[in-house]
Amino acid sequence: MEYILEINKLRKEYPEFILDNIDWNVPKGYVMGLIGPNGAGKTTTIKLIMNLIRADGGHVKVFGLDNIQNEKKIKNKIGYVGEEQFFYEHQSAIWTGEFVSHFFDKWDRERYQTLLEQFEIPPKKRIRKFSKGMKVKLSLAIALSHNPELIMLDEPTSGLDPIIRREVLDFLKTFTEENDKTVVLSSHITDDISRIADYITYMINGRIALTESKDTLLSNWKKVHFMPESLNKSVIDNLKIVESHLFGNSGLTRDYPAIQEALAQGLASGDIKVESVGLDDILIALVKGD
Amino acid sequence: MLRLMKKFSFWYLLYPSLLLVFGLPLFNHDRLVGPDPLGLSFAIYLAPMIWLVLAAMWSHEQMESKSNGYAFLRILPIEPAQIVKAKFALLFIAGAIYVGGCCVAFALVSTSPEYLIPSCAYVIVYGDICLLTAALLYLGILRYGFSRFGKYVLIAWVILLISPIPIRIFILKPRGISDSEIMQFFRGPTWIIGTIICLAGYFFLMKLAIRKLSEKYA
Repeated sequence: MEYILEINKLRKEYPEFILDNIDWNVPKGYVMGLIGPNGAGKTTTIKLIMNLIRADGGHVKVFGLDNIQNEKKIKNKIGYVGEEQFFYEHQSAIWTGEFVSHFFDKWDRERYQTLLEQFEIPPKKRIRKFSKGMKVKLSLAIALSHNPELIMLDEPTSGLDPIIRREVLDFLKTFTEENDKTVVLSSHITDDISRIADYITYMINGRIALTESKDTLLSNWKKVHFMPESLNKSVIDNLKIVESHLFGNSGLTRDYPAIQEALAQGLASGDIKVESVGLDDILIALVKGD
Repeated sequence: MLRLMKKFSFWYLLYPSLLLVFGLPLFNHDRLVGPDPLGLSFAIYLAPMIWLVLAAMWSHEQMESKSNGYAFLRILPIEPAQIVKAKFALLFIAGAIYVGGCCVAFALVSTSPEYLIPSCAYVIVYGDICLLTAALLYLGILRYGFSRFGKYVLIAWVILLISPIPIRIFILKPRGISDSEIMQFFRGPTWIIGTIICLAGYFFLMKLAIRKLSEKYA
């Protein structure tokens, strides 16, 4: 598999937080969702990739190039939307597009104009008068108008109302599918990731807890509802977050195919039921630990 | 880099235009008081106005701070060195234009070469100090941030702007240093050496600022 982003032993220390020896690869042509609770290190990781903060150790390669030595070359091929949007706010969207166009090798004026129209961004209005949603859309328009090979989105939908959030995500989904782009989308809103990601990475307390394709992840992680006497102890011991309810117990397995055979009899008799889980269930399981 | 300089140049065009308001009446200097009656008085009057170049730099940094300009520029394919070089180059050009303009003005009103060279030297030395001060301020902004650093600098800037008056009254006069003695300094080669040192210092501070910006924003 070809990787567009390769991270090796990446480390960043803050007084109250450590991003600890991150090893992480992003395959080319896919959407990678980066999920984690607030303060897990998602933004720090993305800023390190973008060379917006200095790493205390490790290496980042983007398009096979070192991200510090080839910063300009790499940023030319990355469309970045940060958690916060920064612009010269006394200027307009048109001015901003014109200004940034000089720094990107493949700036597409027509596409920028089309995106402004599509996002209903007033081209001549001062940016300081824009709503949060409009700023995100403007940021997205800039990020997508220079034909980037990699799109990095750090909590782009955070703080947006559900309608604009959905609009932005749907646009991104269509855009990435049509243009075969690689996307890294970080969010603590698992629903957003679930909508567009092909691969999922969970980040917890400054560490990568899990990386897997979404399909594999959702087929491996299942919620098992069982009567206490219907499952042997070895299977129960492998379940996470085992809870007792009035009508039985339930727990999460991270390797359903491995226990499928042990569950067969119970499934047939109706003593055991298996339910699909969402990405947030997995996040909670990982946060709570084994 | 030229694109950045163009972007950054607004304040450098605005502030020096104020010089016209102060500077133009001086072209009537010889009609008012006769040619070079006070030796360096023309230069002494014009030189401190170079601090307006510094004011332009300051206003620009204030705007950058207010709109998180550095954060915006750093997501674009621009190296920190390009940003710093553009700012330092613009400062240098603005200072050079002002100093050059003053020298032309001196040449127009001065009738005696005896005063022309020291007058030009005086403004050049003032320009050197201005550039070094601006470079140090820029480093301070990068180190401490504009809002933290700014309040102290505003006071210092006002002091610098009016500095020629207290320097004359409290330092030069009590020591009996006359204008002609000051002129001796500006006639000799010392100011040329001083200028070379200042420009080397300016270049060194630019390198430091590049390193600082690179560290701050990776």
